[in-house]
Amino acid sequence: MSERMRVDLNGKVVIVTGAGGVIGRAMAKEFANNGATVIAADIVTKTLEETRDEIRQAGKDCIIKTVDLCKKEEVKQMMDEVAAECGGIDVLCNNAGINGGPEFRQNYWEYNDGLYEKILSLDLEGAVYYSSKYAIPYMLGRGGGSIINTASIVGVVPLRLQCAFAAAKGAVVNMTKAMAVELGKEKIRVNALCPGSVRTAMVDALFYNNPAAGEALLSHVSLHRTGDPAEMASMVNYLASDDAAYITGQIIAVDGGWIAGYNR
Amino acid sequence: MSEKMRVDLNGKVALITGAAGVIGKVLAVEFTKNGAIVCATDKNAAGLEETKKACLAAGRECATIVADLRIKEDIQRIVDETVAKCGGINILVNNAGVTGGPDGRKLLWEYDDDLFKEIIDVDLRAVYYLSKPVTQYMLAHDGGSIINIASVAGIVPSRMQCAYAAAKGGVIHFTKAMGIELGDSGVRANAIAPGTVTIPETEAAFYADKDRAETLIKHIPLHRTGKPEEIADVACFLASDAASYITGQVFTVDGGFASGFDRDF
Repeated sequence: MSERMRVDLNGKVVIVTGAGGVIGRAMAKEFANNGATVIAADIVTKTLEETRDEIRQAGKDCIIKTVDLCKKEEVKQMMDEVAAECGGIDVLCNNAGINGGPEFRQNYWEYNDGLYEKILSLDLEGAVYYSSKYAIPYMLGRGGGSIINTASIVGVVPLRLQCAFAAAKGAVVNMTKAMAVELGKEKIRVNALCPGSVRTAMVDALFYNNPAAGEALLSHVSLHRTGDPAEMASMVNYLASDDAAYITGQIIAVDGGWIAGYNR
Repeated sequence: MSEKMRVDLNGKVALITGAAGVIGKVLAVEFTKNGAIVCATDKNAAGLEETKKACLAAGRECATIVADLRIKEDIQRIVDETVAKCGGINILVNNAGVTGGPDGRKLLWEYDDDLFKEIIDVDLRAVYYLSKPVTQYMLAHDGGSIINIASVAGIVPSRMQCAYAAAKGGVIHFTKAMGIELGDSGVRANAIAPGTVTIPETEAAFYADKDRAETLIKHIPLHRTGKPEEIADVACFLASDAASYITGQVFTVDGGFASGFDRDF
């Protein structure tokens, strides 16, 4: 079995939001393995401590920051602290986000307004707009940088019963392009990662606990399997590195071929 | 000169938001000319009176509702009053939109947070909040057609309009989700993405700054801005039975701007 890809992120200050979750944790671990100074941020401190434990078990370390991205004062404070502690910011992984659980999957005309607001507030306003707004001043003048927004394949090809997620992630996809055209002059690149189906507790509850439902989903995925969180981590680590220096404004699906076409 | 396209919207009630605006007023007039019963809503009461006059001149006075799409209670009131005044709802044109104007143009990290919120509220959230009760009404009655006016900025964004890019990108995407979920229920949903639209009254101002105008125009294959009627024609088409197999789609009406780079290499 081949070794994992290595990129050189030594000396780079990298923030990963949603780092207490399955995908964010894998991203934070990989950034640490690639030599970065990692700031793991999330709203739940306990999960952040678990992320830090796993990183320490691998012989590295990270800083943890508990923050509610929907509160712009907290976001600004976190970015100010990171800049004071680390000197500046080089890489921003806007990965935090939520979707509705199985009981909230409704047609848009019956959708839960409270959940619509939660998803739009976090997935678009907090995780991408406020986070970027308060981080970018500390990314300027450092010779370049990289912002990676975790969108979703649902932000490229919408699925049923998730209208809030589709709206928010579709907005993030287009905002990624807008950010790229604005930040190019500053040598800060901005791209979006669109994960396909990655195993988490909620995804299992929705699909894979029921083999028939799981197979129905996987029948659309060319590679006929779910993605590994480490496969999401590889992509963002690459995009963060100087090896991706000519890539900006791009929307990259890591989805086993799900949205490439009709697998029939 | 050829006659204008006509579709049959006789007996259909068309609810149009942002109906006091540049495109909104022309939407109201064109829908009226195609036989629809128009209910025009906007938060600008004086502008709505102008729209009412224009519709009367085009053949039928429209109903008007002064309301603010950022206020939850106003959303339900719009639906209730449209049904009360016009007898039902067959067509919804979610046209209301805020751009922030030239003064609002800022880089993301210098952007005005209140303007960001206003644009997301009117241009994205309101489409969800108003489409919900209207869809429920349409599903319970005679079906219908929903047209969301987005923007080419929701497909190919420009600099210094991050909020507009986010909101219009979100609306286009939400429209596709609507189309999928509505399925064969009898309600269709589509979006129009206009490019830059001017009217004779504003053309002079637009072209007064020759350099700025030329910078924009040179990226448009048809080398001109669009007319509101060119947007309204597509909306009337999408509302009609001529578009009965079209749902979940985005129609870009932009003189070719978003289709590629209008330059040689």
